[in-house]
Amino acid sequence: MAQDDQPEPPLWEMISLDQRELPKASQVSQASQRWRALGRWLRFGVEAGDDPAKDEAELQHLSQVRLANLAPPIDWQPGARALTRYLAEVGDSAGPVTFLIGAPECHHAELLRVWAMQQAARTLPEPLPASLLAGDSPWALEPSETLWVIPQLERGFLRQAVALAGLRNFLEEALAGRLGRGVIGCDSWTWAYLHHALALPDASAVTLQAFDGARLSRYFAHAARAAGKLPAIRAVGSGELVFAESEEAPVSRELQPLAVHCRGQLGLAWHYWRARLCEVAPEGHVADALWLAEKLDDAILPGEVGEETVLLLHTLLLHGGLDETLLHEVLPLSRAQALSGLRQLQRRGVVSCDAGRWRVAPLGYVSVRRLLEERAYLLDAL
Amino acid sequence: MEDDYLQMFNDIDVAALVELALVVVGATLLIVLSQKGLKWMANRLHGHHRFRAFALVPLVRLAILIIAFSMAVPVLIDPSLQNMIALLGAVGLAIGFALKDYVSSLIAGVVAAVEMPYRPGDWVEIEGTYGEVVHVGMRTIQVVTADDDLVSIPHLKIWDSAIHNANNNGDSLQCVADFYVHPDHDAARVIDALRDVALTSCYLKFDRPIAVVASEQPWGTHYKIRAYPVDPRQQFRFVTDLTLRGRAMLGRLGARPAQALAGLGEGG
Repeated sequence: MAQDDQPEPPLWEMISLDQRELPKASQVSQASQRWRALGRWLRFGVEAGDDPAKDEAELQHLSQVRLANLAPPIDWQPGARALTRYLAEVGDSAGPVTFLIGAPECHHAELLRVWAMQQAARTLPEPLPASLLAGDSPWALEPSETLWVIPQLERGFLRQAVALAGLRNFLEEALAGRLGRGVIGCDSWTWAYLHHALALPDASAVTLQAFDGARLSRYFAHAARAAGKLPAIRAVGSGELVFAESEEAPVSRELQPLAVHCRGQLGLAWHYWRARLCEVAPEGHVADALWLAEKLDDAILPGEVGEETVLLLHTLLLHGGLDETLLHEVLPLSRAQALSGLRQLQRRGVVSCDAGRWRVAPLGYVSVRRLLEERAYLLDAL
Repeated sequence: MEDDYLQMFNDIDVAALVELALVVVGATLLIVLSQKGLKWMANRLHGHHRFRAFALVPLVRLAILIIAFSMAVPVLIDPSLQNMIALLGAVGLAIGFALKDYVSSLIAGVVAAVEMPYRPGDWVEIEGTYGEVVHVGMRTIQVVTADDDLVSIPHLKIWDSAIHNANNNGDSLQCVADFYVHPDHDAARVIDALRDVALTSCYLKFDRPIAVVASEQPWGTHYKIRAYPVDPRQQFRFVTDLTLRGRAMLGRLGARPAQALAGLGEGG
């Protein structure tokens, strides 16, 4: 129960895109953020000033086994149930197509695959890049009564004139209701682009409500409790417990700065959570007391970020990741130039490559988004 | 007459000289520091913040000069109305004969600092020179052209020349890419395709409009994509990107380039 006996909001809440509320920072936290931003801008190191309750040098990261117990991969089934509830509430007013918008690392595709299984809906496969470049419709679909699901619209999108025309044709058919009822998952950056370029309707876009500090605390406590006894985790800075001692006790505010930093995105917060959990015990011995490191381990961008790097990062975000051959199709850079830039960013942990697909790394996302905002590039809404 | 002029001046003792030197050195230091500091700050900013910081450069210098001048004059002369009229008359006569253009540029520099027909960071064309204003000095502005030439242009051009400011004192600069198409084509499809070419450019600024305009010519149709890059400094790369991808797209649609006809320019 919350502090003032108000019923707690549901942990998983599906809402229309324009209703999403970003977690708010406290005034002290805002001042601290501005000070750090000034430090970054002037390029001198700004570290936390207060004496920490625990020296971070004495701490070590948790083993993967321990992390798998304390912070297991996110189960998206409650999110899928929240989508079912939302669609039942709005009924036919949702229109023939509903777009589920998710920020990078928020696994909207996974959520939709779970949902499609729950609803016995037909999941459409990813189109081949060659068909996109040929201007074909990314998904060939006959009108039917069967509910269909596209987990990742970004896989059918290329920022290229021919490919855009093919996607436009498909979406026009779908939005006109000629392909039956469907749900489309879309990365928030791809949505920002398509919303501008193809004037997609706002009303049909839904997303998960942002996870503020209290929600994050409830989620992580629940996940850790599921694996056994909830351990005592203390914040390195203040020494306070991160989780309430009982479910009735007031929710700790220790995770609010993390929620603000991650813009309320659970998937992103999960990566920071795992990176910040520490222990003091020597190897081989499991300590009871765990610590939450103060520092957010963001990947650090180079001091001077050139235009090519900015274009690369923006393109990766707009496409939800891309392989190197397609990068060459959408950017006025040679393949060698693109690869060289990506490898430099990879060394700094800003981007990562998984099975040939380059993407902005989870711990690089916040820095990259801030950079793009400074340079006045198109941003996502989440 | 000579005695009258001499009476205008105060007795210049060591204290007066020290005071004068302090004013001159102080003003010079302040100008150098403020100019370097503001430029350093502006170069770390992007978008409209960069332009606002650059705009302060000549204004701050002008303010320092006015303050320094108002502090220095009473040290040298008794600033009575009679003295000022006599001094300015003499100075005006000298300037009228010998330093007319030089002083005209200085005065134009003051007017330019207030009216701001150009500011550092703006893209301007003055008498055929097009480039980015990198410095607004007291007498001249310095413009770096696309060929990386540094051109100094005296401020006095603002009296009688057209000053084309491509970004209109803001951070939005419209670029135009031209396409010349043979008459045998589907105009509606070409307009849609060229619009998509602009929409898919990685340099495109999204909060500004895209326009594709067409005009009929004796040799075919002249299309123009009008759009804005994210940063005015990207203008040449943006136009190149639009041109190359636009040509490829037109080729894909089967729209052939127009053939030049001898003696027929645009408009007949």
